[in-house]
This record gives sequence, C-alpha cells and structure tokens, in this order.
Amino acid sequence: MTGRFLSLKDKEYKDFASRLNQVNEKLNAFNFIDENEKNGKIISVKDNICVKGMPATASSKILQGYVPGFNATAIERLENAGFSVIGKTNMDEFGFGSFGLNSEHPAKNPFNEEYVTGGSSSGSAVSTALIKEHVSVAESTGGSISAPASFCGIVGLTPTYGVISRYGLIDYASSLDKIGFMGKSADNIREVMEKTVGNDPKDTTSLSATISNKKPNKLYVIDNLMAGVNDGIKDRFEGLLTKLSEKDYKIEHIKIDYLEYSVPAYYILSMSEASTNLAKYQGFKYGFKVKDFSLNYNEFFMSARKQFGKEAKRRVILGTFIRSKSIKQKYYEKALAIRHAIIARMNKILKEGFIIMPSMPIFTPKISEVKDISPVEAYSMDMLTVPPNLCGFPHMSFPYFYEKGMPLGAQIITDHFNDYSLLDFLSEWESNFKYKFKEEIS
Amino acid sequence: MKIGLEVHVALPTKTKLFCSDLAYENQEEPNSNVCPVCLGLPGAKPVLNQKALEISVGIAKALNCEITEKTWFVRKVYFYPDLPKGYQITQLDGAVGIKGYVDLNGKKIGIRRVQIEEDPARIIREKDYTLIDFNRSGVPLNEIVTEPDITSLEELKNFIEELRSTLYYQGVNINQELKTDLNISLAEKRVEIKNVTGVRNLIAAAEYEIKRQSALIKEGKEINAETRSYKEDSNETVSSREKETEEEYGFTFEPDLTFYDTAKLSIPKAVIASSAAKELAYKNEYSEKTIRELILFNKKNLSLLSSLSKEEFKKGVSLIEKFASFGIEDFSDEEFKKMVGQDISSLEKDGFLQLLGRSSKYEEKPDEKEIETGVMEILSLDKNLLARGINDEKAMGFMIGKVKEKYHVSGKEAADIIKKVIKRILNN
Amino acid sequence: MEKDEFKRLLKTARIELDEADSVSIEKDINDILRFFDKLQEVSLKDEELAFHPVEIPEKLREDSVEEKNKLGGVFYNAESYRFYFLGPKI
Repeated sequence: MTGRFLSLKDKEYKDFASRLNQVNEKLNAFNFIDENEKNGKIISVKDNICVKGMPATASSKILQGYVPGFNATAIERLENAGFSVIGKTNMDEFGFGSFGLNSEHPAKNPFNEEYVTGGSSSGSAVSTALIKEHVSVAESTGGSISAPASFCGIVGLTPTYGVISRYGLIDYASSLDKIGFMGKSADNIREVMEKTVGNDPKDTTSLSATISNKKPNKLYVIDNLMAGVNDGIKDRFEGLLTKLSEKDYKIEHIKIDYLEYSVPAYYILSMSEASTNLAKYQGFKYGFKVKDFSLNYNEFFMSARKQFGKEAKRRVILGTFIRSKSIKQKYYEKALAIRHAIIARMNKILKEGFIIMPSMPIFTPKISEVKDISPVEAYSMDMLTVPPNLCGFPHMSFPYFYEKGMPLGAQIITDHFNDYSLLDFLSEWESNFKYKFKEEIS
Repeated sequence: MKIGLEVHVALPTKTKLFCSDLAYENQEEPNSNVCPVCLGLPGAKPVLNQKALEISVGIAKALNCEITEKTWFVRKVYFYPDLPKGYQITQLDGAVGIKGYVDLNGKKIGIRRVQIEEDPARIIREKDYTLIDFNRSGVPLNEIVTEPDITSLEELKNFIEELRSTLYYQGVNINQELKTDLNISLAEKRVEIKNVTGVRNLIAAAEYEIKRQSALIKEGKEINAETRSYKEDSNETVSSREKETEEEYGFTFEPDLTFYDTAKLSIPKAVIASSAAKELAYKNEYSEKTIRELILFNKKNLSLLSSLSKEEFKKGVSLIEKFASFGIEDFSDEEFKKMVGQDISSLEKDGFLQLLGRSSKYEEKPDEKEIETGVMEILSLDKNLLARGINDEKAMGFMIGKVKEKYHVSGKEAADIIKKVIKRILNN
Repeated sequence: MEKDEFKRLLKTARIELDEADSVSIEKDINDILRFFDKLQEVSLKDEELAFHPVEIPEKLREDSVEEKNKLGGVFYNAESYRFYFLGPKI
C-alpha cells in the first residue's frame, strides 16, 4: 500500500506556502518555511534534523544562523524517494521539554490556542494536524513524538532505536534519540518509514535489522504504571479497552518491576549525555557568534553559552554533576542497570503481546496551567512515554477519543524490530474509528 | 626516583580515526581535509577506522599488553578552542591494551594502558585571537601510559629508544615529534610536566626537573604536587595552572560508538628489534651492540641480516655499513646477495658502484627548485633540525640524506647542491 | 548539593548565570537530585549495564578515502582568515 501525499508544483506551492505562512503566524508550527518551488510529495522536518541549505536551530538561540551543508541520512533517502522538504518545525530547545513551551515562540495547539501542543516535537505535530495528508519527520528521546501526537490528535510513530540513521540529527542524548514520524494514516507513515530505515555507514548505531510485523492478539495493561494516571483519563482508556476487546483482543493486566524508576533513570542518562553533546556549542565556527575574539577562551565560551535557554542550562549543569567521577556510580551506572533490568522484563512481555496505555497521564493542559510547574512535576508527566523510549521499544500514539473537542491519544508498544505491527494495528483501527483532524491547509 | 610517562603517537593510517578525510597527505592548505565529523558539526557521527584499531592492537601486543576483548571508548569533556566537540573521544577502562611492559635488558617498565584517541586541531596563538586548522583534528593517536617504573635518566633514555624502535616496527612514522606528559617524583609528591614535544625536550625536561627536585630536597624544602610545563627557550620547567581534574572531565561511555571485538583481528607477531639483535648475536657469535644499532630503526637491515648464514654474517654487516657510508639506500635484496659474496673491503665508491653494476652516471645533478621543496618539507617535520641549524654536521648530514633519498640522487655534486640550498633556506 | 559544588559545576560546564537564575536553578537541581535519589531504593548490584537499548554490533570503516559530498564551503558558517578558522584567544 502506498500513501497519499500532497504534491504541489510551481505556482501551486507558492500559494500553499503563503497560506501556510499566514497560519504559522498564529500557531508557530514552523521555524522556517521554504519559499522555493517544490517538486514532489511534501513533508516537514523537525528543526533538529539537518536539511542541506535550510537553517537548523533545534529552536536554540545558540544555533541561530547555522545552515548545514549536508543532509541527514533520513532526509537524503526521502529526497531520493521523491519527497520534498517544505520547512523546519518548531520544538522545545534541543528536545528538552514535554509541552513545547521551551521555545522562544511556542507552538499553539490547533484545536485551541490556549492549550499546549505537547513536546518536544511540537511543530511537527501542529504541521501534521494542519496540512492535508501530511507527514512530518520528527524525533523522540523520551516521549517527544507520543506526547505532541496525543495532544494534537494525530498519529506519532517512534521506531526501534537504531533502525533509522541518526546521521544529521542534532544530538540530545545519543543512546536515546530516535528519528520517527508524525502523520494521519498508517499508509503514509509506512511509506516514509520504509524509505528511511536501514543501515547507514555514517552512523555506527544504525542497524540493518529486518523489521517484522508479527501482530499479537493480546494487549497488556501495566497496572503499576496506570496507578499514576488521572482518573478521567483512566475512565476514557477503559472505554478504549472495551472497544478493543470487542475486536478480538484479549486484555491482560500485569505488573512490571522497576518501571516506576524509569523516569529518574531516563533523566539521569539523558542529562549526562546531553551535557556532553552540548559541549560543542562555543560561539564560533557556526551558529551564534561571540563578536569579541580577544576574550579569553573561557570567558568567550561562557558568553556564548548564555544563549542556552533555562532548561538547557539546567540539564547541562545537572548532567555535568552526574558525570563527576565520585558520584557516577550512584546515579549514572545505576540508571544503566535499571535500563537493563526493564528491557529484560518488557522484552519478555512484548514477545507475547502489545503493551497499551494512555499516551499521557493527564488531559491536554492549558499553557497557563503548566508554564510555571516545577521541573520534577514536568518530568513526571513523562511516566508513560519514558519506558518505551528508555528501552528503545517501538511505540505509537494514536487518537482514540475526543474530550470536549480535544483529542486523547493512546500508546501501544511492541518488541524491538517489530515496528510494522504497530502500523498494521493502526490500519485496523482506522477502519473502525473516525478521526477528527484539525485540517486547515491543502 | 620514580618517572612515569604518557606518550602520544600518531598512527600510520591513510585516513582519520572517525572519518574518511586524509590524515597526513595534502595538508599544506589549512582546513582542506575536513568534514562535519572532524569539524564537530552538529549532526555528524563518528565511525571507527578499522586500520587504526588493528594498529593499536598491534602496538598493545608489542608492548606485551593484555588485549581487551571488547574495547570501547569514552568522552573526555573539556573546553579549548582546538577541541571541536567540547570532548575528546578517547579510552579509559575499555582501553585496547592494559598491563603490559617494555623489557629493558631484564628490567620491566610497566605499561598501564594503551588507549586509542583522536588528536585535536592545530591551533596558532595570535595576540588577540587564535587561528585553527582542523586538518589535524581526528588524526588517530595512541596514548601509551607507563607505570612510574623508570628510576633514572639513563633508564628514561633507554626506555624511549626501546619504545620508539617497537613503534617503528609497528609501522609508526618515527620521525614524528612524540608528545609526552611525564610525572617525576624524587620524594613523596608527584610533579607532572605536561605537553613536552620531542624526545630531546623530554630528556631535557626530565633532567631539569630531577636537578630542581634534588636541590629542593638538599635544602630541606618541600616539593609541591603540581603541574608544570617545559619551556624550550630557557630549558626549564615552570609551574602552570592546573587543567581539569579527572573529576571534571566526567568521562562517560561514548554512545555514538559501540564495543569492538579485538579477538577476531589477525595481528602478526610483533618484532622487537632488541630481542632480534640478541638472537642474531647469539646465533652468529657477533657483537649484539653493532647488530642492535643496525636494526633498531631499520627493517631492511633486520631482514638482510636474518637472511645470512653464520659464515656470511660478518661480511654482511660490513656490506651494510659500506652501502650506508656510500649513501646508497635503495639497493635491492638481489644486489645485496650479489655483493655479499664479493671482497669489497678495499673498494672506493666508484669501484663499488661498478661491481654493483651501476654506472657512475647514476649520480645525477638534482634540480635546485625540487630540492628546495624537499628541504622545506623535511624542515617542517623536525623543528629541532631547524633549531640546530647549519653548524651541526649531523643535522646537515641527516637532511642531505633525506633529500637524496626523496629524489633518488646521490654523489658529492648532488650533496653540494643540497647543502647550498639548505644553507640558503636556513639563513633566511 | 553544596553551594561551592554548584559554583564549581558552573565553571566546569562553562555556564554563567545571573543571580535570579542561579537561585532558581540551584533549587531546581536539588529538587531533581532528590527525585533521582529514588534510585537508591534498588540495588541491582549484579545487573548488566545497558549502554544502548538494543545490541549495537560493531561497525568499522575501511581506511580509505571515499567520494563524499564536499561541504558547501567549509567556512560558510564561520569567521575565517586565510583558510584558518578564527577562534578565541588562549
């Protein structure tokens, strides 16, 4: 099955781009919209993925002005397959955020501008919601695809770690970062996925594994995770389970040890890695430039690194602390052990069935409700999206309910390298459920 | 007295450690061999050079190390304008080789670790800024860390010679300037001297530091545990501001790479020249010292001498010396075999060449322009030569030899022209 | 985390904070560390460490120069002088 994509030529694209620009002024989906004519099936790309000749900022002021001279491998492959990139989508700076608010001009929820989009792939979610037949190439480290997909009423697929090359992806946490997709149909996502997977000689961690689609008929609900979920969400999710059990899925409730430690373990690992990955930003060579070269290099670097947003600073400082020799064992190595323990346990379960859960433990919050919450409160909202991300399991958020007009997403998880089973599940779901997309532009 | 070293040596690969830019060739123009990987651009990822891994395992084996079965890398985070990613990819616990030794005629100098790492860029200090050339960024290095087992200056010299010879037999370019950190303690406290370039400076720095510490002890003064640096101009070590500590480097696993299997690599048995010299001396009842000198930095001599019978051996040694004294370096094995049967002891160069079957026409006049480039290249290789200048016969002889070798010219006339060019350049 | 430790970290990470940020980030960091301390409940002493979520087989590069897309101008994004990148004073 092939997907259906918007293909706009010449003048058509010019008109499209100007309509898009208009909407973008309101919703901040894009950091950059390309005005040049396109030839091909259009896609958008998260702003932490390099597209040759287009700015790449990862929504960070420290990368302002950086224009990569090379394509990410995923983009190279998609362009070769006839896709054309229309622009770079907004995000939480470097991927640091769950609501899309860690950006200079946060993206707005297309269903209601007072509400958050979710993050960090906020702009990819909004552009996918807005544009007809659209797919956006996004990226998830700890939930950056599932969260905004859920809040913006679209589908978000995060593949197994390593099946899509990270070459050209601006690193957040190298052992966790995964390029993935946001779209509105299984066929579309399948097509872009098929064109991008596979070994890349330029990325050591990219794999040549065969991706299967073994679809089980068992759905596991993890009770010790559900304990922290909002009651209203629990109720709507029960409804979903009932619906699915009518479709011959067998529902089983289980408990998986150590899962309650996955959020701290994830933040420990991701901050440690982030604090090294962000050491390269020094205010010369590319991006933001410190004007005065006669500053001593330490002052020079400090002056450049003022451009980092608050959350980036927080994570760099904390990550630096966690890497210190004297306490590395206490946090960093413990987190690696926990990751190992959880992988082993989830692996066993996922051989037998999908794991299913709501994507987020809360209803879509208003911007005003979450903009001042503490970091720990914010991180805790990732309790459902973190486990599959920490452990590299492929997972997908899909819309299953509309609560006062706002969408709700559920997340299903499968075993490593069984990614296509998620899309088979989605195809089946699409034949029974009517999505209400917030589509404005075609 | 305890001396320990951290020696950095560039590996003989064609391309860099983590990307496919040339590591050594065509480096004249700054930033001509760079790519997103060695510039540290956001999005780029490292992929390990197989040859660099093989060479490193070879070096670790030659230094009698235990080879780590699954070797891995770490990020060492520090900030300096020559370090493009803000961290250096290097090794620590997963280092390719550990617990080795170098045998100095019966005394073992422990090798704590042989680790693979990337070279930072070349940085030129200007008054109000720096200039950076990333051609060197990502060049593959081994850092060889010894135990503090060296107990005298003499032993230090012997160790360095033995190490250089071992590296030479692993294919390492032995004309490169080794960069060394050394730690010396005459009393309890350990003094580190960072970033000493070249063997001469290393010896000089150690010598100075031994004198300095001895004097302090004599005066009953305390020796501070500190980091010092060696000043070549004044031949002394001076206290320097401490760089990052291990705590601050925050070493972590390099997640852009993985574990590498060393067991499946086929690494030829290491040649240790001084052991070979011992064996040849015993087998042929000949002076070990002479053989050692001939083969320490000369693979060809080792192979020639190893091919000789006991009866031919003495003649073979004389022949090798003869070739060397006539400045003929490009002779073939066949020519050697042919000459070893001849009586050459009384021959002058012309006669020798005739017997060899090479006419004197071989002595061609070299092109001055060509020589000039050749000399410039050699000078850029070895700054000591430049420093020693024209008054040093040995340095001059070495340069003439190098240029002759490069342009396949020989003879006195050629030597005179080369000398003239060298003098002209050095006087400028 | 002690105040001095926090100051040392800022220096190590080359991050400079204004007074307001310094106060709030120091507080956040201590909160987050308390949150991380939850991990001390588990021992997992002999558990293997998962450096990657899936096994990454080794990938080596041949030691040869490959045809590659040359960067569109090395200095396109940078300040340069006579083929050198311009960097801060040392």
